[in-house]
Amino acid sequence: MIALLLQGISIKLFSQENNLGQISGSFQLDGQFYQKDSLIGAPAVPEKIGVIAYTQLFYTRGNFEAGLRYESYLTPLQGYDPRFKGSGFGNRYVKYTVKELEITAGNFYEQYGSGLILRTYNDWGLGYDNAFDGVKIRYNPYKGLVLKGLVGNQRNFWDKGNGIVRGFDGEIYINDLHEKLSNLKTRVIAGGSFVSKFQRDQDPIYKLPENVGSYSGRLDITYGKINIFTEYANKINDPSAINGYIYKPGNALLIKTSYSQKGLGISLGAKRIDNMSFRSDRTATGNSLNINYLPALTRQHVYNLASVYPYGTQEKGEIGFQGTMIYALKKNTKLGGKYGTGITINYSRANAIDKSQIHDTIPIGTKGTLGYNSNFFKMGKKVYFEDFNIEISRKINRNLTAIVTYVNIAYDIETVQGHIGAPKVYSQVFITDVSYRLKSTTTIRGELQHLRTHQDKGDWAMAMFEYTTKKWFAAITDMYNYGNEDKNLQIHYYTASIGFFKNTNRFMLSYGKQREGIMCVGGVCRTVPASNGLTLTITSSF
Amino acid sequence: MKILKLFLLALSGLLFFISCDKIEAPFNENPAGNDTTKKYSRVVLLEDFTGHRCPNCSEAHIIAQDLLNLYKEKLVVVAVHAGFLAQPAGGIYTYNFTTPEGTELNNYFGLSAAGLPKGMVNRKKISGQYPLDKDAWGSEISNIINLPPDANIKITNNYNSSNRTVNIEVEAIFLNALNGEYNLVVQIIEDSIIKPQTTKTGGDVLNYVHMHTLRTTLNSTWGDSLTSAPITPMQNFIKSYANIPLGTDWKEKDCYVVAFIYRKDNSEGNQYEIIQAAQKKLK
Repeated sequence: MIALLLQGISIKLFSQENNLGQISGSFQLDGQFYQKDSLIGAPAVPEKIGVIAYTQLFYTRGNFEAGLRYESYLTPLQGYDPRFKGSGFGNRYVKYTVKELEITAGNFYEQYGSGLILRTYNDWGLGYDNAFDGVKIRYNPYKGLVLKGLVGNQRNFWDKGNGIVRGFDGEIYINDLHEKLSNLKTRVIAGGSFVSKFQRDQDPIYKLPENVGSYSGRLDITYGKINIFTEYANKINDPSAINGYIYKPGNALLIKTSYSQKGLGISLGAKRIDNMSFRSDRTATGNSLNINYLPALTRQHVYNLASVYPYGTQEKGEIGFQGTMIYALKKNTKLGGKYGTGITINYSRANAIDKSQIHDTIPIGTKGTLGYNSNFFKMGKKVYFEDFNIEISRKINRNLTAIVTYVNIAYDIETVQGHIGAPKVYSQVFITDVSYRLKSTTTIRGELQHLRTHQDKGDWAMAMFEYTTKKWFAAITDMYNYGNEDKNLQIHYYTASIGFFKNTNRFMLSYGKQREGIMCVGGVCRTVPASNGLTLTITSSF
Repeated sequence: MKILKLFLLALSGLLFFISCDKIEAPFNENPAGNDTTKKYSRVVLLEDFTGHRCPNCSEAHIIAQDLLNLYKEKLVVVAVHAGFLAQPAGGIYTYNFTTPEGTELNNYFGLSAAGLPKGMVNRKKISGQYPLDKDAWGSEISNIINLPPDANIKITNNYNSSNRTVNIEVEAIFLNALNGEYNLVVQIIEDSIIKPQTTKTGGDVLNYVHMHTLRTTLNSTWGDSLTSAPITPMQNFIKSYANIPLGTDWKEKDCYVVAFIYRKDNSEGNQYEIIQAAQKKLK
């Protein structure tokens, strides 16, 4: 069984460049072999094996481009939405450019501004794909002006969502408009969008708006080392499953500023989201049929124990802040050492928004009403998430590099993960990551991590050792929940992995226990159920 | 020419501004009401898959009740407790609401796997899927509930209080000529079971009133075959179920017999679709 899997699937297609055009693409396969493990909560899976895979092909020739993606979820891995079960062409399109006009027909992805009003994308690891199926145009009538339009339904697993989405976006590069402006030190980009969706109202109880429109405006200013970006989006009444069928309009504001110079980078961000879930089907929940994307203003942690409590954006309402400073201590100084030292300090926080009753007798969020009033500048009492972290990275000698990280997270697990009644989690994580280069192509790396908390599952300790060469790697990891209140649940979640690289092909096989948790990328989350067994991943590109 | 192109684009952009429906209060529909003039009317079955430890399920219960208040005898609701969150668990959630048939339905149609609360309206596939979000139930029901019926079901119950058993007779009359094979399923549901339920905003509610709970299925998950031959108008079938015992803690005054007819074959692509349902008080 294992031998069969190891022989695996090797993809060798050539990128051809000649008069007949060019073909390129990629492939990924994820397979999991499940074993029941009641101690960690891994269920018995009737089909025993889950395999998900996709093949993406692109064909380009001159001004013409076509793409095709075939997907198979037989069956979707645990944690992926089971409605993906099946196989088929999940994505197909053709694109043609005629001078200033670019036309795409079929499935496409699009983003207006920061995505507050419209953003569709595909994340295989999350099982997220809200692509449009319709027509999109991009028109560049003259230098400095880009107009975009689209109309379509959205992908809903193997079908199309109920709602029709129409979008329009204009972006002006002020400096490109006129010769005199192009020489200015200040660079300005301004943009605006309008997006509306249509869905029939067949609800027998409520009068639901069939056309829901939203608009947004944005500004991006760069002056020397400083950049400021801001975007504001507003949506009219959109009663939906997510907001509990209230008729309150929604809005979102995003502000980001950054400063960078040699050796120092500072970025600050703030956002306010109020009832801004925007989906093409008002009954949709989970990760399906989102028209827009509400950004998480938090650091995406890479280390295991720092990702135990990740933040998922609260689309019903939140106020967030983030500040990051990246500083490079100079080489050959006392503090910086021979090779220099990097320091990253990051702080982020997400709060509830202020909510008050619209009328004495109507509780906040009552179905079929305007919902609530909210003071724009006031913060709600609840702190959903707070993360302070500092990371120091130092190259000690030619072959040795060390990274030390401290993370302090306060986590409203009840709101973010839906663990009703669970107390807020306060955790501190210490991480040491040391890598040593044995030869030019061989590295060994070790990690030691510790998570300390009095809530949820208690303390964790983690150790990882990894050996990487040019052609292969091997790693062993153990995450030990020694601090769990329940002695039976003080389990070692061990994993052994081995991988091979050849050309652009990568094979990875790992065996072990996976703890139950959630995985979030950019504020969008999916559950990762506990599992025990073998995992296979194959990726390739051509 | 370029200016004209730009103008047309700007105009279409402006047209978008018009496509906005701002609804003014009051936000409720004036219900169309039920037309009681016809002899036979369509009765729709809503199956609400739920669990006592499912926090969002209480919202689904409210939606089901709102729809019952609107459609009255034209709608039958059955709450099927199934899946992980319906299982008896520690603490206050020790009661077993599940039934083997309910579990089989749940596994077959993938309800709890899609995340409770989920339901089915006449077991109709919507956008290729069986599990339907609670907020879509009303729309799906309104689509079909006023269509002329294809069948009528008459239930007669004879309850014997001395040994707590019931004799049930179900008469199914097909009103139109129909293709396909049809099965009949007969169940007993019970209202007002007072047991704990997790709710999103209220935490654990100890004395929650569980309504339309599926207690038993008399003739197995997939029911009895009514006919496999083509059906002629007004053709009728009678099925009898004798001496059906009630569970020891069931309250006979809150029990109802539910019966529904569904299509067994898939020759026209609508396998499992329910064509008519009915409900009758047990006692």
